Amino acid sequence: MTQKIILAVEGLKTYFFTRAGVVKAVDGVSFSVKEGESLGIAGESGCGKSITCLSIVRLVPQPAGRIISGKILFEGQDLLVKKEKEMRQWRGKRISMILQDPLTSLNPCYTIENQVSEPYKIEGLNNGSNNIRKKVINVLKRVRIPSPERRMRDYPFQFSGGMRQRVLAAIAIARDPRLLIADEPTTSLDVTIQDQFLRLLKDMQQQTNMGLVMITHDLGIVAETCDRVAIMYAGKIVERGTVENVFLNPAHPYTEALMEALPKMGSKRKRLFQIEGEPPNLLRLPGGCSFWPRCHKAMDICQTQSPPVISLKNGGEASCWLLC
Amino acid sequence: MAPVLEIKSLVKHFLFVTDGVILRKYKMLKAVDGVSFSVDKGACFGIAGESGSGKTTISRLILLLEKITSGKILYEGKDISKLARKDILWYRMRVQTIFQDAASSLNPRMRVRDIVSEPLEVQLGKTLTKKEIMERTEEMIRLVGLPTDKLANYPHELSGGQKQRVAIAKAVILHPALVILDEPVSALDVSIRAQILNLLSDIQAQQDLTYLIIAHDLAMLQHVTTDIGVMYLGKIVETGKTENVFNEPLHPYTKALFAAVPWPVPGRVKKAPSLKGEIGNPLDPPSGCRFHQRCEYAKRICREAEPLLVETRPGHSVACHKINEPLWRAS
Repeated sequence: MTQKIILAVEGLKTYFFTRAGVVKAVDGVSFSVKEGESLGIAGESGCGKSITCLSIVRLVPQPAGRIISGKILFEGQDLLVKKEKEMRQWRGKRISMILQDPLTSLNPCYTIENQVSEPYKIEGLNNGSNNIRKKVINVLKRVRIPSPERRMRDYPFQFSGGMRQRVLAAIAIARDPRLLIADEPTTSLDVTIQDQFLRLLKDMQQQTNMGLVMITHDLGIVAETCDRVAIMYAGKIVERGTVENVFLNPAHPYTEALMEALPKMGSKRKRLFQIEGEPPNLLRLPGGCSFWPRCHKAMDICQTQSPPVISLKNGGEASCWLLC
Repeated sequence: MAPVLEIKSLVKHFLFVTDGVILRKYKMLKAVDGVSFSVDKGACFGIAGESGSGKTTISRLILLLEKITSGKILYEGKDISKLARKDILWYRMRVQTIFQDAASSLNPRMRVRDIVSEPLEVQLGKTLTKKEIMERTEEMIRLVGLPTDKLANYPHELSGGQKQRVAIAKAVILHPALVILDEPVSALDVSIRAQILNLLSDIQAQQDLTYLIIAHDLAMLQHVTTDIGVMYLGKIVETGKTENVFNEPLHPYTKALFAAVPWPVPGRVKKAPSLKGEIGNPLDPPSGCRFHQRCEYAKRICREAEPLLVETRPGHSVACHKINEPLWRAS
């Protein structure tokens, strides 16, 4: 079965112009997402994974942040040339987002029903009949909120963290988007609740065949929910490919080191492999490959020239001089 | 080996206003409800559990930051709630802590030098000279892997990993016997996490420390601890040697908790269904076994009687009727 590509990002560059200098938050990122496929974008804090996704929906903080170049093709149309008015109609309808903290994403002063019905009102559904209420109950059932008829009259503070996150998921899928972007959706949840939510997300994706972009710093979540993965470091994708290939045969030294540095369930107590140093300051990136000061395989060329993107035999891509 | 810390049926209830303005109505929030365990010298005891299970309250009780409702905490055989003022100062020298969020636990208006040397000034300021204090501070900052020129910096000038290193230096400068670590690495990135965990284990070996680690990250706990206790709603449901508990979890909650952790291994198929429901309300905990509403094996006895923590084999205890009942029958 050939799946249609719904999102293709090509050479995206999003820079922030600050008093201290230019921060290259996203520096030439390319990837694509097919229908029914989930792509994980993983990396440490400050590597540009969130800004990549804000760029897709054109919500980069203004005026400091600007998309400098690149293309974001959503179902064949370039989102970057669209007018703001057009973008507003696409957000929520074609592309939806679930953000990290459900408490700050929901308005504390309105009932859940009020907030979940908003996407339907924007769509122009008639408010007079019970039409909207039925749809709200329906979508809350889809995200498995028990007794939605009663719970929808509650306010966000009456919901637990896991339930709030489901409400956000309900708002996100209300208009059957083709692409769902989840930005660290489970970081504020406990493991057992996280497990419930990730399974819900997978089920919803299978029902609607939408594309999913999952941003996370937890490689465990990537392994369990995603088909393909892109590992980011200092604004660039250092490696991408199928989850099996990237996790089992990492090509880039950074990916390799990350896998070694992770305490894993089921393994013996031993000293962890450690990556020396800290992620670089994006204002003062080292020359050449951004990772060389921390890389245990760094060569002379790494310090002066940026590595090219190399296509791997297994279909993935990595950018490292070692692979040339 | 003699235990450094012994906790005996520890209880902490908080009074919680539920209703009323003038005629207030109160309820008891049973944060910790009958917890017993002991930590041997040189061990690394881990407490695992979801948020709201009472693990942080235990650490606050050990640090004398809260008053005990009932039960006992014995440090080297002495009851810490009965310590005299002078002895409390001594106790605080022996027991130190590292908090989760180094950014908010370091005073933003103090330089690193003053933060790290403060415990020395308070405890030994009268016996040591300024020069000796400074020497020991520098030695400590080198031990945690920071360059000595960072001594003049303020916390905001340091990165997250460096702040955590300062917090470690501050905690171990008095050469304590026991260090309590509340989520020591959960705020850090993966690459920094490994550095800090390795540093902690080096310092433990070098200074002959005993650790009590409180965390929700099970993979990390498996890596660093020697013994572990799993908490659920103010009670320990399973405890024992880390390898026993992880290789063969017995309590249904422990099993479900371990199964819910995402492994960074592609293609692993989850056998167990995900745990239904959410952690109960500590204001109104379920009767009998507190886990029974979420447990797939729950029977009548689970709703009625509270299971006791029973040692099922050497170095492994469980509080579950399903596991313990056959043992009762046998004996």
